[in-house]
Amino acid sequence: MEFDIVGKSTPLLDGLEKVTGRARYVTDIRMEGMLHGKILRSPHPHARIVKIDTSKAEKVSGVRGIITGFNVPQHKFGTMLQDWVILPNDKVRFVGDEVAAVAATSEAAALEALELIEVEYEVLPAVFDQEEAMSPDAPLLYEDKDDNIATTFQVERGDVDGAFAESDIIFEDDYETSQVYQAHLEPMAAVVAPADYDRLTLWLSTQVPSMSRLRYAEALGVCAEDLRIIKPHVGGGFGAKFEYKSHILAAVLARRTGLPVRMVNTRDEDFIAGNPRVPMKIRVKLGLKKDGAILAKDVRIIAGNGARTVYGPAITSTACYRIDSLYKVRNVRSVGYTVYTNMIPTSCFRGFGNAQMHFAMEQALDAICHENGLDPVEVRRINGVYPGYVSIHGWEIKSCALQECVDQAVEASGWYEKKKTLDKSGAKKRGIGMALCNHVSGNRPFYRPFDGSSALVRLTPEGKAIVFTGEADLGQGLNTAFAIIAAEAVGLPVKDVRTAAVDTDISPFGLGSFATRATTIGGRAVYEAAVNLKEQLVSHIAKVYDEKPENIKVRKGEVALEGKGETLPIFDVMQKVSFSLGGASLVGQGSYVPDTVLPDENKYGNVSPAYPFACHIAEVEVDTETGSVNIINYWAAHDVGRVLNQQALEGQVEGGVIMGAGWALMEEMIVKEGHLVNPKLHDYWLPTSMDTPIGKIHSIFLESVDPNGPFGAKGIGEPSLNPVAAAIANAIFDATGARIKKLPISPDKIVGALVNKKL
Amino acid sequence: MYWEKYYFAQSIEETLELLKHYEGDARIMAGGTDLMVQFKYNYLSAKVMVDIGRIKELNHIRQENGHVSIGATTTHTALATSPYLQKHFQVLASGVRTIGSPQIRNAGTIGGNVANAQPAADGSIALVALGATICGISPDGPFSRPIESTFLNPGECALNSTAELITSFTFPAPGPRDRSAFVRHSRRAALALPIMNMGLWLRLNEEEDGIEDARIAIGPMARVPFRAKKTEAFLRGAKLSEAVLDEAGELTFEEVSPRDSFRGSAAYKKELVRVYLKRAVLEAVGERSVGK
Repeated sequence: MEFDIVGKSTPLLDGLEKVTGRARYVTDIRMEGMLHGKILRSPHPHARIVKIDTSKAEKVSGVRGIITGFNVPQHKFGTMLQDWVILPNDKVRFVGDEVAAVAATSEAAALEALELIEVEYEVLPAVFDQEEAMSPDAPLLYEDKDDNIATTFQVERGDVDGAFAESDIIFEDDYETSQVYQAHLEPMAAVVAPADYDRLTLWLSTQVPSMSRLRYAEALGVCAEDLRIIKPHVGGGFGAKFEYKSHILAAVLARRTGLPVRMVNTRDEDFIAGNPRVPMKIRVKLGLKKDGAILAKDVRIIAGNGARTVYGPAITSTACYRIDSLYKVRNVRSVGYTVYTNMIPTSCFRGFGNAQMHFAMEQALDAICHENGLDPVEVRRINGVYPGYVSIHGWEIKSCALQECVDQAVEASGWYEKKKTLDKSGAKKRGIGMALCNHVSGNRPFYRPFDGSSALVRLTPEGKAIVFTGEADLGQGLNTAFAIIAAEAVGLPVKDVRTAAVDTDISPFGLGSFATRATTIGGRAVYEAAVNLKEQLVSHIAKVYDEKPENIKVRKGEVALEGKGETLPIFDVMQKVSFSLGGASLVGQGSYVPDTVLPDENKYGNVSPAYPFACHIAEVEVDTETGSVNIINYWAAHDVGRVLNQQALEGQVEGGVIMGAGWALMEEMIVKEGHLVNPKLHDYWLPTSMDTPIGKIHSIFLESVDPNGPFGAKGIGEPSLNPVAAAIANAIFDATGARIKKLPISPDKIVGALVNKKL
Repeated sequence: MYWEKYYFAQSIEETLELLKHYEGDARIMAGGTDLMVQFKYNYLSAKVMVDIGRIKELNHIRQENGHVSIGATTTHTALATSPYLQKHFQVLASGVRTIGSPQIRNAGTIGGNVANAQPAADGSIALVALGATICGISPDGPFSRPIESTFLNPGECALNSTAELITSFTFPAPGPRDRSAFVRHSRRAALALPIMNMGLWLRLNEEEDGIEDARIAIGPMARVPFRAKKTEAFLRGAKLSEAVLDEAGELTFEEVSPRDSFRGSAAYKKELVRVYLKRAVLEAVGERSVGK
């Protein structure tokens, strides 16, 4: 198929306004009479709240409202489990837990009031490690529960023990992944203002506007219709920006004071009370035939949920079994515990558990190959899934260019040559490592009522189109992708199409940006809406110009009336069409409901309409004397279904690789007795541009043309990160023989492993 | 704001007058890259700020009367990009080249770096390796003393920044057999405090196959910039060879006693010191000058 826009490089349509500082984010919003909200947070990892005295704080000039657990309702609500309250009146459960909130006419007054709120605590014993929290004598976070296990996920299929008995190779090892911070540029933020009809308008920095609306309605005891959510530009989410406590506190304060309330986290607050990545202890046992074919897989995961549930349980279950659609294993057993601790609540982070499991699984395969003299490329080829494969859990692989990803990455990197020739003679040793990846493009069980999306595309009397969607651009380029899809499908230049900010009063319901779903599922809805619009357009043109529909061609903003031998600009045509309709815009509406199912009680059922795949290869140089790792080259071959926007895809891959490298090598939330030691970007070693292998990340895109995605496109957001830590770990092993199984692979661990002592 | 009044002093005299006038309520601002952070987190407060950034004579790099003089408000960027320092005093030019970020180096000054008295301040480590003298003016008149006497404790300096002013740092002009180097290890390539940094100054012997004199400063190994005096003594008179450097590294390993911190354990820091001592010497003298 010949495309005018799809597959080319389209600069992000909002790129210029962002780099010039004109784009407005939630944090930029100021309103007449707006109050500043601040949150008093727990200094203790675990303590009983004996008393809160706000009398002194109330006297601070400018203070308009103070809420605590003693003056807000105490009903329970939550994202997955009902373990949230607006503010607690019984206990605090992590350092950073919300104890009270103040709204005042200035930030200084709000901060002064916070200092004057007197809270009497009775400090309780606390538990920080998720494995220790499972022990029967661990302090209980929730006294109405028997233990600290929030949820247990179990799945077993095939004959696992039989398959292990038949295996020639049995491998078992433990891996540990870390809690890391998403480090979005824009902190967690909300501005909430009272509106007419006793409603509230919430400007949120969120990736899930419509879902937040439902949850916040539940929290506030109102109907969803009473809340209007507006999502302007968002400065990154990476999984952090789901339902968030401070948004609710801002809403409560706005209601009580009758004034707009701005609630923006400081960077420190983001660090101690955001929702970082779920840390996991992963035990993997694999049984294989002599040639490396995987017969059996047995996994046990202990995941740290933190002090309340955000999306930890779903992330653990993903880690337990999503990778079974990457390799053709038919005998699997997984158990995953999501365990409460007196730590920051953990949640989604690009990769959603699958990244954690890739770190374990792809290192395990590498170790097996090394120990048994197998070729890691061949072993992955033998086990990799193929188009038409149905996994043991019923996941249906449609498009799949996994094998081609392996071929192309191996060839581009010169894998076999490098395996033989990389220099390992001096103190600085070179190595090369590989990891595969799969992911979803939509995850049916995430929002239980349904998966799917709908969109409107409105064509104005000037011949310009506006896409209305409930899916959330977070800076990843979704609005541009939607404009590309609509422009291509209607026949407009992309510059004449824009995607409106999400506004729940106007936009369709959209689940939001997670599970690498927005381009695939949301984009397909936009495509359907655009096709619908085009049908209307053609039929109106036929009427107005007295031309047969089959003779009307719309392309690049021009309308060819082939019967008449005339070509007119869309502007002229739409003026006529629109005025003939009393000035109406044409509105195309479209929906996409994927043919997926909510997995049954045994976790069987296809969860996603499309599955992206990738093969990553890292080439590193390790300074064996200091432990420093330098990424020399990085190849990322991705089956993206269809390239919609070449440069945006490259950007996603480079971002995913850099973020993954940060997770692998540098980033660390160092926690001592429940207190984060380094809650500042200065001491949290996020890669800077000086640390990134810019220009050395080679993106390769394979187009398997998925039957469900718009123009065949599948998602890229998470797959670009999933295999990175494992590929780098495998390359470090190749270079040095040091196998680091606990993230981060910091320099001291590498040197320690090489000199065989703990540093 | 964090203060009530902000002065741009036009001269050293005016600075001293302002400090005197406000009797301890005024503080010197010389770039502010550390100070502003301390204000923001309420570690520090002051009623009056006296910005010395516009006093021309405090901003210089010059050689005079057998000495090099570096003005207190010379920025890190100016030091790092000075062809003169790059040629003759690598330890200083490259020492400040990785401080913070370009913006921080454009604003931050060598005087501020020293006055903050952090045990691993890159500028301080480099100046200690050069055996610098700190020159200043107090209400009692001008003073000059060895830079090492300035550092009392982490963040605590012998100068009173509400009454005294650093004017410059001086050290001997370069000799033909002088060499120097700066090495640094951190968890990321920019905007990171070092896990270990080391300034090295050497004077080679006449034959240039051995070391006549050496000064080694390492951070953060003690409460103040650490002088590896045992290693220095061992290197004085030693011939340049792999074996000697290995032994020197071993000695440095033995004589430092760093503390565990979240940036790196004491054991890891000691490993680094051993490795980097050798690397620093090789960088200073050139790999080829070292016999097997």
